[in-house]
Amino acid sequence: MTGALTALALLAGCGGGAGVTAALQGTIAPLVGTQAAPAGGAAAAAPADPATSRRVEIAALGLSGTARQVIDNGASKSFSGPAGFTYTLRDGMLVSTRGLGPDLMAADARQSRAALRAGGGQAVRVHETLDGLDRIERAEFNCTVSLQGTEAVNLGNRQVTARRFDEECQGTGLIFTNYYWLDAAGEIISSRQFISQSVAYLRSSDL
Amino acid sequence: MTIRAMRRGGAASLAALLAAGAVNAQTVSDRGLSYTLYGTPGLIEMPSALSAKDGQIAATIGNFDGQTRTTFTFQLLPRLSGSFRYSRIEDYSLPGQRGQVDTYFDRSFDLRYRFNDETAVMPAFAIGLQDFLGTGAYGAEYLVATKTFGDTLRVSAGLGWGRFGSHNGFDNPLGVLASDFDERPDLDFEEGGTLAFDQLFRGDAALFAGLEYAPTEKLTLKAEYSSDAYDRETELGLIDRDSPLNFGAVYRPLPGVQLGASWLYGSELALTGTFLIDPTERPYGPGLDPAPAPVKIRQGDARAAQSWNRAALPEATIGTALQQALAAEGVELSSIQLSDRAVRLRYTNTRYRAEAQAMGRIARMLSIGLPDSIESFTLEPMQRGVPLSAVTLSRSDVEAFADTAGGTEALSQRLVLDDAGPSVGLKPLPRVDDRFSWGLAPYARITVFDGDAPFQVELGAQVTASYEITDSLVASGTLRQQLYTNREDPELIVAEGGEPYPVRRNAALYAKEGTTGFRDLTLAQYGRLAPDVYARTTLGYLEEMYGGVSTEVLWKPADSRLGLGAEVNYARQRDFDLGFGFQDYDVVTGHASAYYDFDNRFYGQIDVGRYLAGDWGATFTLDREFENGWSVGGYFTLTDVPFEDYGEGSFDKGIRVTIPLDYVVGQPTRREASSALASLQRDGGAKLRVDGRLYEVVRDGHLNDLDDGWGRFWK
Repeated sequence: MTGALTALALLAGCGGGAGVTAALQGTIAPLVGTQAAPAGGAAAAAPADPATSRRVEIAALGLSGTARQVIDNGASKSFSGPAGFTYTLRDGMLVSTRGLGPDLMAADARQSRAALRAGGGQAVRVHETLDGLDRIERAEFNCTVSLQGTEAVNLGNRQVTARRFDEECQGTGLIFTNYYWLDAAGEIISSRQFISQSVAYLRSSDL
Repeated sequence: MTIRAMRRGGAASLAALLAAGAVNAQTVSDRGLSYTLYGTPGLIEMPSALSAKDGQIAATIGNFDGQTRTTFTFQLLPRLSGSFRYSRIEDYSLPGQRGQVDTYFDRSFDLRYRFNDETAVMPAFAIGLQDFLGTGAYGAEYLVATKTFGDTLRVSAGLGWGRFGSHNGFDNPLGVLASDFDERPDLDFEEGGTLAFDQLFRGDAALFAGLEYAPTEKLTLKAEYSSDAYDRETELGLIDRDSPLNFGAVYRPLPGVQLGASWLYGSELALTGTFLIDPTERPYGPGLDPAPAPVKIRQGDARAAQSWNRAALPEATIGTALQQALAAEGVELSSIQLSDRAVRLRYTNTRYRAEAQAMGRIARMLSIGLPDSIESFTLEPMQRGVPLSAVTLSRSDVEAFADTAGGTEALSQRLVLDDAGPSVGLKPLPRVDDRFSWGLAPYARITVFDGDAPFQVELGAQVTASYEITDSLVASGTLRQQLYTNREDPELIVAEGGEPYPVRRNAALYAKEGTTGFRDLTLAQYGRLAPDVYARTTLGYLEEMYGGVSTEVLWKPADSRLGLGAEVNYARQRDFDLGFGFQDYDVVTGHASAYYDFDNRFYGQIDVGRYLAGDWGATFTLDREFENGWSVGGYFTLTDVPFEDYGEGSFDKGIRVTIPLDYVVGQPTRREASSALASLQRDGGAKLRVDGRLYEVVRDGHLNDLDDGWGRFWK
């Protein structure tokens, strides 16, 4: 039920992500500008710049479109997607979402990232969500990362050959599978990663 | 006051313990739970030993043959539940009263305590008191055991007294303890509402039993052997009790809704509907809050900067830009202090119920906008122009713990909570938000439980407006236009005999004559006299029935569980037409109050002093509060007005519920809905109703409320 409510509210335009971008570009940007921010994080260019944009989809909420980078913190980058939701990738791994209702508040996916780098293996990941009493709920998952082979990935503007990995995770009463496509340099260029039980997965791909 | 870190660890572990207790309790028993005609967990009329899920509220309406029972049952603790019931019985009168009255209305309270969790071999046992505070029309006590077999069958059996000991009763087994138990004295209900100790577990006892069978998840079938003889109802010819056997079915079309039908005593059809509310489960989960700006992390050696270039970025520019940026988050920034390494802000959060969430949003904005050398963020939330506390966060922590598992907890352990600092050093920013605000809204006033006219409703529209002369000096008023009421013409009530002056009982006259008028019109000044001491003065038409002046002082350190307050008011009764005129009655009223947070989700309050009718006494209040802003509690007031002079109910008591609006709508808002459910407002123990009493204003920024809402910091 929560997911449906969330989708309704988001479709009704209640999401306020425009506010985020506006705040960043409008009022605070002058301050950032004078501070020589790394990669000028706040200033998003008008057409979708492949370097700072992603194609995103959250099937359960019926959301798809282009997400623009709003902050570049080096290893971690935050993007603002359709209906104003935001998400943060740390080295390509999803570590948080906001504006989706049942958000992924935070995640520790370092072991999973290491397993991807190692070509497969076991990993423990931690997800945090917020419950109905405003308490952070911590869930641990045991995951197996395995190489599925090489696939051609369509990134919209270009076709890339990438290694595909599946990460099968099992926690208390919850099982999910993340997909990753890694390029020759080991960067995650496309993925489907788990957010939370009612929102399910975020697909995010480089352009 | 010295700097103290938040006691997050202790509070969290205790909360975890309580939560674990709630989860562990009753792994099987609350499954497929259904409700009796009395609105308690159980069979058809007979109780079982089960408890609902901790914190759950069940509203049940049951009807059969001229009896309607409306019951709210609250699971106060995993093992303790309380019920409040309002019932209507056609053509009924209490035993000892002659003949029939038209229609009898009654309020009653129950308590039930479950001793143990059901195990594989051991049933659950519970003890219950039914209608032990009211007139005792439904008065009964019981001991009951319940055992679940497999997934589908449940058996309950028990021993009842009072009503539940009236069919096939036998000598009270407690008679071996004392011969007092053998006889149940006649009910001497007088004005009702007092504890009937001399009745409890007295007189004959009887056995009852029943079965519940659940063939599917949605359906439960029940059969019971009732030990209630319905003596009085049979005597009055209201019920044909042909059999002690009752049969029923409960259907659950949706989660949280139960519909039941049963065949009672071989002659009567009964219908029930139960609606469940679980304060711990929000319809919108964590809430649909719009995404905040992400944290910006300083890169490389930027963190080592010791100062910033004020020529390139003047302080005034920062203040103005921050004020505009924070306005988008519903935060009104009123003053700022900047140094090379630190920033201190005073602001009013107008959007987020949890101050912690506003702090999270502010911290993110600061991480984006402030010069790299500024490492320390001190946030001083204000309400009504008064700074409540000071929370200091290190910018490096904000950067490190954003989007990091364990980050919410780690940040709460590293922050420093203190009293708000001095105003010296703060640079005020010109106000950009509107000083004037107004709203038009419908209002409804429902008066239930009044003995003669049990359901009175008044509907209308009201305009509220306020003007902030300064942050802490506010003029406000509410103009009401009544559009509909079903009240019959009330008569002026005057005190008779030893009765107190009718300070509240003429409420109906205000509704009748004040169809267009000011509900309130006041000038309120808030202030902070010392770091831990807050003050309020409110002048004007304070509430519907009284005007005057109200002054209050509160001592409440930011990290203390104890608060102490004093309030002195001069109040004069307003004219019934809600205009500017006053009547002759005036009084000096006020209380000394102690507020205590028991740190286990219970909050207590004791007020001792002089009430509106000039009576002296004390009010005791206990609320169970949920982290998400729900609160359910009860209160009673004892004063020197004798019970017989007080009238129906003997003394003032009631139940109150507060529901945060963000729970309902899923969007951030500071608004909440409060209602007192069970109050029968009479003249003894009546308090002046003043908006914005200090404790409720101040506590949002203090340790426990911050702690409760801390999970939302990064939301």
